[in-house]
Amino acid sequence: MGFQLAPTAAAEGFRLEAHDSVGSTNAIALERARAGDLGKLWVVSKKQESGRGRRGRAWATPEGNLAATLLLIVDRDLKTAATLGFVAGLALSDALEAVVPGRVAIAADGAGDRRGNRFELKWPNDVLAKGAKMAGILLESTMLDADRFALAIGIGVNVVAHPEDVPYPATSLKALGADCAAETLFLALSDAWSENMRLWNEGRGLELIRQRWLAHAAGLGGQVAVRVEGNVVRGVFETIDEDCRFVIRDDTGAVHKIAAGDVHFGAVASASAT
Amino acid sequence: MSIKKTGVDQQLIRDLAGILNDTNLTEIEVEYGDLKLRVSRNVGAVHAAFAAPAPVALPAAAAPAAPAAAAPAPAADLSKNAVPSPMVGTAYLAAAPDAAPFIEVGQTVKEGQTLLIIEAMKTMNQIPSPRSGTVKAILVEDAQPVEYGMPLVVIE
Repeated sequence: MGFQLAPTAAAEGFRLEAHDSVGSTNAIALERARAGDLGKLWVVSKKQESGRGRRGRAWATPEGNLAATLLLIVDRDLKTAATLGFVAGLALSDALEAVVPGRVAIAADGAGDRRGNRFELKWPNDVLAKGAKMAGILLESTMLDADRFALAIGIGVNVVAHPEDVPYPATSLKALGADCAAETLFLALSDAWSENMRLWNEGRGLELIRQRWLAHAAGLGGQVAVRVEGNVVRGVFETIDEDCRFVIRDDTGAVHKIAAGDVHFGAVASASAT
Repeated sequence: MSIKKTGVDQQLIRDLAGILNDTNLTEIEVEYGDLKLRVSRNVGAVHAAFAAPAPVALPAAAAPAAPAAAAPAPAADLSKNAVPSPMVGTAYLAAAPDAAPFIEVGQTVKEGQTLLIIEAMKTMNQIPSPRSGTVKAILVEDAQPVEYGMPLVVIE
């Protein structure tokens, strides 16, 4: 089967542009916007030649993995639109829960984390399984005119393969024992996206999204280190605030609210985040 | 005054001083060929300092004394040609820390070409050139926090 949109997504006016192989689904989506596309367009591919991550890091999408970008045209403030990254994380974890067979136990205790999650969300935009990165989300935008932005919400999922040469633990659905095709996962993702975007409700439902996200948050209440362009902030991961910033309380009791950075958990927080 | 020998464009300094005033910034750094020029001010006083290729200590008196009064028409044009930041965030001059910058001073750019990226709220925002022209100045450094409306790049 090829890529298909869930009926719920098609009914809400989402469209699909499917590829076997592309350079980058985010790059294509932004090109479409510059050429006049009105958004609600999913650009998906089973392979990317030049996928990318935060700060220009490469994101490998070998044949069989999923690269999916949703293009939206936003005319409200970008600050609100950027919280769609959290909607994307939730949509993806919902989709994974839906398509990964129940017999596939992800967490060490056989069921999930203490809250029953088999997949956890790592701030700001990663999806973890057994503490290893299984998916990444990258939001990119470009201004179209004075009031309108094109927003590309790129979602990369390790379906059949994951990289070995990365400085963090990584995994794939296949490595976890889940036999699921990229097409099946995308079908579920397009459905879960529509549902979570309804909850988000143009940003008015952000508090609901924030609460849902926190219920899936990896490392909440634990020791973390956040690296922000050369500086490292260490402390306890307390929450994410109403703007979805990462809130850390350090040893002196001071609270830091971080808008962008790389998070390291637990032992790694003191070992390799320097 | 040794400034003539350095070949430094005094008009450029005046223009930058004009931008400094117009925008309420405290400091602007520009790379112009192999010359790096920084203009800064403290509570109304404007100072200019030069770096590479051969550092020249410049007496404070060499800077325009009364920028408000002296602000010439070209300064207004230059600041008018500055691309303002559409958001609060962190500016990146290259796609990756070790990549070549998107633009360099003196280079021509086309309308819509990416000048730099501003990361805000976990979103990498490509800032396109509002017009075709020549990059006259890059007013921010890599990984520098930027404010709304702050001039980023001068395109003429």
